[in-house]
Amino acid sequence: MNATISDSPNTETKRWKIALLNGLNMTSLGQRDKNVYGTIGSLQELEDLVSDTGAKLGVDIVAFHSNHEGDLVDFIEAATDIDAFMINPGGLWRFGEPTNIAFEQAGKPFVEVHFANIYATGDKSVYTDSALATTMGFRHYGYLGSLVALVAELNQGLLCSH
Amino acid sequence: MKLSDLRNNDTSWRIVVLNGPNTTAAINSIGNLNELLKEWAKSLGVEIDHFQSNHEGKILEYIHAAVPTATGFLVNPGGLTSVGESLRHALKDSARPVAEIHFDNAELGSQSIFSPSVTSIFSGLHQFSYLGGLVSLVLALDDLDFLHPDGNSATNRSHGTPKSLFV
Repeated sequence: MNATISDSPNTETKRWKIALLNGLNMTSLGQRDKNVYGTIGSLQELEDLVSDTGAKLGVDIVAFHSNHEGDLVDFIEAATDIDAFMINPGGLWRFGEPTNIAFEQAGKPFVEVHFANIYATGDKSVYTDSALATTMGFRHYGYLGSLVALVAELNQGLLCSH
Repeated sequence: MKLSDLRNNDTSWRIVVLNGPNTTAAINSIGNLNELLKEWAKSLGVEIDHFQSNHEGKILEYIHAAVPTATGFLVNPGGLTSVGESLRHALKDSARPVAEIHFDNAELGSQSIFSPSVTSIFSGLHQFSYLGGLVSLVLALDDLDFLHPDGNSATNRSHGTPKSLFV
């Protein structure tokens, strides 16, 4: 294993805490169109998979989901102990400006993750310009690739001062 | 950890990484991308080939030659992002999963002519965009119901065409 993905967090820094947010309609994962969402069984299964992967990488995952955009804004505003966010905004990708502004105000890096390649619709996500990173079209595997790469980036010290 | 701990399969897929014109400055700024790609591929248990060129025609010919043995592509189009129609055709013709890669999200957005026709996108995490794209692509290739080349279920997308959200 290379030095950029450590078995345990750097002892000189605190353990990274990464929030995993799932937005509107993601509670229905498992019953949605399998052409888009693949075979993952439920949102709980997805959250467990990301948390387990976080444990392997030596970071903590705080999972949160809601069908109400205001809940996402409340969570982001209150999440002062979170180092970075991953979000699948669900249907908010097109119009979710309040959530986007909450991220900008929080001043923490966030990664936008989508199951489908939403650029295949010809439209642009409102999040892409302010997100540190964007991952789409890998179904649920994009969450895992994003987490690995985000942790690698955090461990380089390129994002945070501590 | 070894990245292969994330997999349920040990097939040594052959992933081709392509970097287009004007990418050398970004690549050189992060050290040795070749070495990083090799380490990550070894940790995942897959093969990787990396090719950078400032000449679109050379990239096309590299793709033409690589297709028979390539399982998937990671492509940073660089300066061709908004104008590389021939590169886009070569990738479409390959009928392989293609992930579009960018160092920075500023290179993505409405500028890219590749985004609507690639399988997937990984952007914004500098050299680690290649890592995240590689991990995501390999896990997706391992899945018979997604990008596995031997899969034949209705949800398999191994021939590289994204499913429109409006269909």
